[in-house]
Amino acid sequence: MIKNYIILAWRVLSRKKFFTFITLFGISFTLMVIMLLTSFLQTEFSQKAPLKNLDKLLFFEQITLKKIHLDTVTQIDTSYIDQVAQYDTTYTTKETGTDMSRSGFGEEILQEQFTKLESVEKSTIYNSTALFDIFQNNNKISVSVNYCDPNFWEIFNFDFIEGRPFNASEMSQELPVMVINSEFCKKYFGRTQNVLGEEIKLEGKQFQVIGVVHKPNVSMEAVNSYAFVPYTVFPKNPNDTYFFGGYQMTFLTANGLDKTRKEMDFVSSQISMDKHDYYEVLEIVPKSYQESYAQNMLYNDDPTKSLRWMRIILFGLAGLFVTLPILNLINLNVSRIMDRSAEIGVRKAFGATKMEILTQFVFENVVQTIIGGIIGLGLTFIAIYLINDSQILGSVKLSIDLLFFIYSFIIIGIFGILSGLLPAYRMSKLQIVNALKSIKL
Amino acid sequence: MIQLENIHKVYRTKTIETTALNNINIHIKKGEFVSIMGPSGCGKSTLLNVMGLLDEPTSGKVIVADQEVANYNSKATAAFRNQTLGFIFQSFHLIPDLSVIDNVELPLLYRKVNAKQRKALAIQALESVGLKNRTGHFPNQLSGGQKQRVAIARAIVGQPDILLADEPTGNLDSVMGNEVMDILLQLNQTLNTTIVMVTHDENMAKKTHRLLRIYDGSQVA
Repeated sequence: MIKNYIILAWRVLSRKKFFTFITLFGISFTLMVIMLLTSFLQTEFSQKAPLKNLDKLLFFEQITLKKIHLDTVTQIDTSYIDQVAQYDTTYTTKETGTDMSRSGFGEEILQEQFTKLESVEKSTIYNSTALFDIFQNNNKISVSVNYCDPNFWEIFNFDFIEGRPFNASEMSQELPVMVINSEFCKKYFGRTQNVLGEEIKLEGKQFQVIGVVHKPNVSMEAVNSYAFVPYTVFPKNPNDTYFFGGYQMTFLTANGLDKTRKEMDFVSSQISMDKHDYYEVLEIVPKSYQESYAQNMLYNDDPTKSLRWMRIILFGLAGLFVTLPILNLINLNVSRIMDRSAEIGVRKAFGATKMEILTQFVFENVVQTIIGGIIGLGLTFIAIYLINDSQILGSVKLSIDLLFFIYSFIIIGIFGILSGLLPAYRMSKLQIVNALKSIKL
Repeated sequence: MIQLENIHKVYRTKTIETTALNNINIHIKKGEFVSIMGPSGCGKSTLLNVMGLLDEPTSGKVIVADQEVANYNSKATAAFRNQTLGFIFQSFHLIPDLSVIDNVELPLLYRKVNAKQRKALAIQALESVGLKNRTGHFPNQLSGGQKQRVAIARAIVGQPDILLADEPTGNLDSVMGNEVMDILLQLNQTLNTTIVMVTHDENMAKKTHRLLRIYDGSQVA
């Protein structure tokens, strides 16, 4: 029976070539978009090295200081009572403007206020803004350097190709040690291992390589630096103040993000603004990984709103890309199956049950969808290759893994069943006499 | 073999009520070859559909092969149709996506006969209509007469007791029509198959055992 279904499905598809082409194109293109989206989300938001703790992390990226200008407006109303002038004076205070300064954190405020939070298991302070050009074999390499502390390695779980991270004692002794990533290692040494003990000169200082990590496949800037050094080895930037500098901080929360957010709010509200001679209000907004990502993508001030918008955009797009083709497919299928009503009449006359008719048509659709799915997978491979090759997403490389395959096939299956079920159900209920009246066969 | 008692069939729409069959009483014995004649729209095909359990009467009793199927559910009716009845249509109604042999195998497919046996029976049926060498062809590669012979092979492959033919020669020229008629007569004689045939052709009708005439939904002869 199943063999017959498959043969029939194949013949039906090959009989109306143009129709089949349109349908298959719709299915495969839609699937490609969904698969690309899935692949992108998986690459950016799945828990993998160095973001195995992704859901427990909170980020301090920027600090905002504000001064709100208030102005007093004096309003004098004059009225004459018995030809004597009476003055009624009103004073109102209004906000006439806000001065605002936003930047990375100063190391001091982070060290002093946020290293001992109760709801935090571990935290790390780092500065990933530095960029140096070095020359190797007449080639210029732009090296992004992350000045960090030893906790950085415990919060971000990098995969080491060889060697180890630096430790607290190396940090306190201000030893010039360096962990580099595989991309830089390849560019500098021409290989990705057997470089431990080698030296790299940066800003006139010789650094000894003590570890090599795999380059992470996420777009987060701080973990994508070429080199990581203890932040004590370079003198402090003279322009840094108590509040402002180039530092960021990441927290590994102990009991969920909300608890830590509350504690952070409380600590922030207790910080005295006496240390600043101009600004009066302090604003620190901790962000989750997703919020930070959404904010960077949408350039919105509010991280929560950004995340909401990013979700609306992503799911809206995915919804559109799934719903429209399914409706279209159902429409195409209904007209195609209607065309075959006489066939259904004949089959029923010769003993086919409703269930058998239903199965036949759903089966045809599943076959059609699977073919579309396979073409879609092919298109996805090509699209991923082109995207990675052109580096549209920066250094992030999209990939196809097992889970991704499973997701895709589930989507294909749902597609096949949904788009075949409704028309097939309608046709299976058709009265034989009415079905046979159609002489189109 | 087929017994119709007080059969009425009324089609109702919101504004109009049309009586297609009016108090029909027919008894057809096993092995009989009966033809039904009447002007267009008189209810011949409706009568055949009621006999073939393709349509339900508004009132009255239908007994086919000693079974009163009014109380059967749709699945049981489908199985009963598959075992007992074979159909031949004026416009052949072959499935264009299926080859000749696959078309003929159709009733056996729903009887869950295995593939090997299906094929053997289908070839046998095609042989009896003289089309053994056309098994791999598709319907659009056949002439009208050949199509109707394939349709007959499909109708008889499951060896039903009753064959219902709705103007089987209506779309064919006289030579092909006679060929098809000869096959039906032969089936009736050799296998003792009960055949009911709707026709417009007096000459064809004369070859059958009995002629029923329908006029405006009523039996007049």
